[in-house]
Amino acid sequence: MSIKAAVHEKLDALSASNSFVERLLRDEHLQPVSQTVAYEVPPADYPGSGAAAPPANVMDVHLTLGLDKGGDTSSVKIVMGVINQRRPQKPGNTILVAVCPANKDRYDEVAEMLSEHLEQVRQLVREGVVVGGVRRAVRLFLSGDYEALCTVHGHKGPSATMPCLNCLSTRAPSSAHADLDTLYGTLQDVDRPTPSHPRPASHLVRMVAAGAPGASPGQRISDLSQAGHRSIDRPPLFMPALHD
Amino acid sequence: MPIPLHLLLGITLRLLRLAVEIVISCRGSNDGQTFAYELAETLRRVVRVRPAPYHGGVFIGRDCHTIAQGCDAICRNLLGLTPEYHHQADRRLWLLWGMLGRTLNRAAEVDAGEVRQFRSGARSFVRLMKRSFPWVSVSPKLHILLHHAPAFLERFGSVGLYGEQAVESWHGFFNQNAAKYTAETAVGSCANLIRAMAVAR
Repeated sequence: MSIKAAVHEKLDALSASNSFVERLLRDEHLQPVSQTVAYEVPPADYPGSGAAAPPANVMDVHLTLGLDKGGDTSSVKIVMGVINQRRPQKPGNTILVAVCPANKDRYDEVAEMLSEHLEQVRQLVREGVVVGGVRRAVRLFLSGDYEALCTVHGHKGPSATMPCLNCLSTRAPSSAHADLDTLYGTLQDVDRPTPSHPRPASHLVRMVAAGAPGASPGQRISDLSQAGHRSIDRPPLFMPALHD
Repeated sequence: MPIPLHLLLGITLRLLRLAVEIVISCRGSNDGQTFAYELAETLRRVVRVRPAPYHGGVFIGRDCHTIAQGCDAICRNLLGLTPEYHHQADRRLWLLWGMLGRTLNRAAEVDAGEVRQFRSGARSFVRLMKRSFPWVSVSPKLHILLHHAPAFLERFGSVGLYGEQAVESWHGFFNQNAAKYTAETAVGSCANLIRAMAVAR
């Protein structure tokens, strides 16, 4: 199935029935920020994911890409959600993208399942979507259980030295990684105000290159230290909007 | 990257396990085992929830809210087994968790006052847990609750709207309607479901 076509179809239907609901971001005072600027497609040579994190005043559409393993006959399901509507969590309001029998969110299986859809998702994020004659940015959110999210990020999982997908905090103080504990802080330090080192998107880009077959010796994931791979041991399958 | 449903499931389970750990730390493992059975009985008979086999043997999201509402019954089990300050800390944790779980999983926009309350509640919850029960290790889920869920809520005005409930619901749908999509192989059955849903859309 075509995710792009299904999303456009869904948005057209919402727009035609006046059911499209704006989802405004909030400023530092928690007040909604008006969306006044139409989205412009970045030039073809623009690096990275481009539109994944547009400014708050750019008109946008919020999409979720959910991935989870479950059910009596265990299967991995991929679901696209459109948040700009009433009751976006109702299954009938979502797009079932793929179902595949599987017992675990295994990296290779998920990579294969996602491979035929991710290019379309990248196009959606890059090109945006037209709703009511106005081009809007696509703000994409990954969702699912922690195991599935780790799989998509190529991350080692919740027991890794750097277990958080959002920041570089280490799991617990250890003599082996004392320098990283000092630099990034640990999960156990609950008194610090907020983690000061979010995971940068540029690191995920580096890890994609490091996981490519042509990566030069010394630059491959297996050659990198903890500070280099930051608990990512497979090339990320998709790069969501992260901080940079 | 909000995972409100899995935070709800994981942290509710952590709180139930914490109650058993408190008894073990005060009275040893034999009493801890007895308490664990009593706790399971309380959950079944008083709170009226039970683990769902189709949900990996853990409680479903709705039951997690019910457990937080029924925390009085759970905390009463600790009376006489642990020092009063442990009992009070556990009770306070359940009350905070009940409030946080509601905000976290509501698929609606949250007003600014509740957003601020969520951040301060999450901070109080994790700090109280760590200070009152020093053996507790802050897991990635507790870390998300403490730092990243409040930040997401402040930026997007809701966590529940962006959650993973929809994909979980599809598991339920496929379970209930599996007979309609049977095929010779599991892959064929999945393909039948996808086809039927694409046509229905």
